[in-house]
Amino acid sequence: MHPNSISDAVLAKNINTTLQDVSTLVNDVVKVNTRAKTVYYKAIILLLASIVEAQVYHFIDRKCTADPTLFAKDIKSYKPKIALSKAILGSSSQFYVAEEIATPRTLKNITGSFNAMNDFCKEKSLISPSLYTELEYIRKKRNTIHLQTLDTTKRSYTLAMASRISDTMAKMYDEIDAC
Amino acid sequence: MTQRTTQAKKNKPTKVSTVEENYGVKFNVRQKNMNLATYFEQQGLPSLAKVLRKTEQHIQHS
Repeated sequence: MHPNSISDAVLAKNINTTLQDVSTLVNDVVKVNTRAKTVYYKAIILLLASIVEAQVYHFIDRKCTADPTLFAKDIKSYKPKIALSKAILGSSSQFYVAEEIATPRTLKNITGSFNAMNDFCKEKSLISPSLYTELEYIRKKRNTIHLQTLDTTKRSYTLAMASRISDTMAKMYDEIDAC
Repeated sequence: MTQRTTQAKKNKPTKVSTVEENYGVKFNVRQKNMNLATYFEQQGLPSLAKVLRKTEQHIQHS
């Protein structure tokens, strides 16, 4: 774990709070009709997926002693070093000679890439193939809720989906505890 | 009257301990004093109950 990593207790408190949020939705879902139920489960699935994503992050953080690189390709940025003369270039815009800076795409540098974290766990054999499949199911299910990926409004979300995600959440907790 | 009520509510100190107190949610449970983990089990989400119990253990041991 890194000095700026969150502790098990902080993760537990955050998960606990989110599950309290979930419980309020679960409590109301039984009172509404079938069409409205899918709206509640949509919100429940989003909250549960956010917990699982946090668990995967925490799991990698605990498994790896150093901040692991998730992508082979670095993040490129450029730092201006020398300003070139506008008069010589005959340009109204300013041009610079710049230094290229390569930053590795590590766990800490690219927070929020559920896909990259899942792939990393699979590539390094940190999790079983079946757990990887379940994590990808959750990621894809969560992505269908994101508006930019929606191609139709006719989608249904169910208790069975929430239950499947919950099963994976429990497995991920076992993995974290086994670290 | 409405403004006064709203203001009074804002100034009222909030005691945070249970979901019912936090959210004002009345749970559909038969037994009194049922904890949240048992509630999840009743609602067909036993794994959430397991996770919740784990979080409680981690919080207590911290």
